[in-house]
Amino acid sequence: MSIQGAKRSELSRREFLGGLVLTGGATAIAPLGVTVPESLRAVGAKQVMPDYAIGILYERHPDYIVLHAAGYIPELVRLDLTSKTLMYKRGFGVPASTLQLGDRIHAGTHLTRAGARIAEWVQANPVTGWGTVVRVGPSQVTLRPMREMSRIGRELIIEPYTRVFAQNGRLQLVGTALGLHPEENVIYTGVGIDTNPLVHQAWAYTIYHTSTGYS
Amino acid sequence: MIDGIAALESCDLGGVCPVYCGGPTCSDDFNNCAYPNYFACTGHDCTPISWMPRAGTCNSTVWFTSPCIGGVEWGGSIFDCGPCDGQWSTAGACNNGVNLPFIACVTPALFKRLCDCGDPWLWGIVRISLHV
Repeated sequence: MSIQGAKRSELSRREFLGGLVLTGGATAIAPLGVTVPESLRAVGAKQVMPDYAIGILYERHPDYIVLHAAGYIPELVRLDLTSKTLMYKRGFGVPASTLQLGDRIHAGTHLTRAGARIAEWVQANPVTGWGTVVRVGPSQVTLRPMREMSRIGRELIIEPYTRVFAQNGRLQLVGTALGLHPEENVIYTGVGIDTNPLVHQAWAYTIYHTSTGYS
Repeated sequence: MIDGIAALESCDLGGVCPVYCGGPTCSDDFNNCAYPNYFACTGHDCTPISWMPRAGTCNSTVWFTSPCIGGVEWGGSIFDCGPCDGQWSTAGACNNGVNLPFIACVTPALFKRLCDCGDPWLWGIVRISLHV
């Protein structure tokens, strides 16, 4: 696709995105036994996307979980767990029993023909953001808020699985952040030590050093 | 043209995605990226890696809303997306020697669609060229 940067008013989004599989809000399917009233659709309530679900852990069972997705229709979203479902809380591949009611959940999903929603992966209490490195230690990186960006400073805990892309990605490390340096700007992903999305401490999954253009 | 990195950001629970110009918070519409800011960069020497981007493929388009411009959506082309599991490279690695600023927040849902990398929280940057 060679078209770049056209205003939406000139060509439709669908024309641009024809190569993508876009089956979002317009065709989202409710879980088994749940129908979406037309009256609610009419007032513009959001529907849970077929391939992505966000909510608070409301029920936990051995083979499925239920999320409370406030502001979405339906508000209660059942995710079926299979042997292939990848569970992330602090680390990788944790059992579903480590999830706690109230956890903030993001999940990649797909729908079966029967309308069941299968969880491909489940992430508890994820956090992400950007910051400026203050200190780099053997087991943690201290960030202050990047100028004019997020106001959240964080302590990123380095785990054996943490991947660090230092030197603008030229130096790739696992389990150590010693390739980072103070005053460098980074993007990061990870999971918080509690459910608060603004939590100060987080276990890092990935940390990317990047030049931002800010000075 | 603006080259930059769209970094993963969540819009759940009200969102914390920073947006400039006093504008709205980032969109949780998976079709859109929030557009926090942009500024001129120094160009790039990065050749698109045709096999690296996933479902979105190179030059797939994402849409940005800009509180700075207001009311207009702009299409941006994806050059690099990822990394994906088992691929030891990143959109950031594509930036060797070049300053690429953040130009947007990408929602996790959009990242999953564009990059087809599974869990976007394990990865999470996209290199985008945007014409304005």
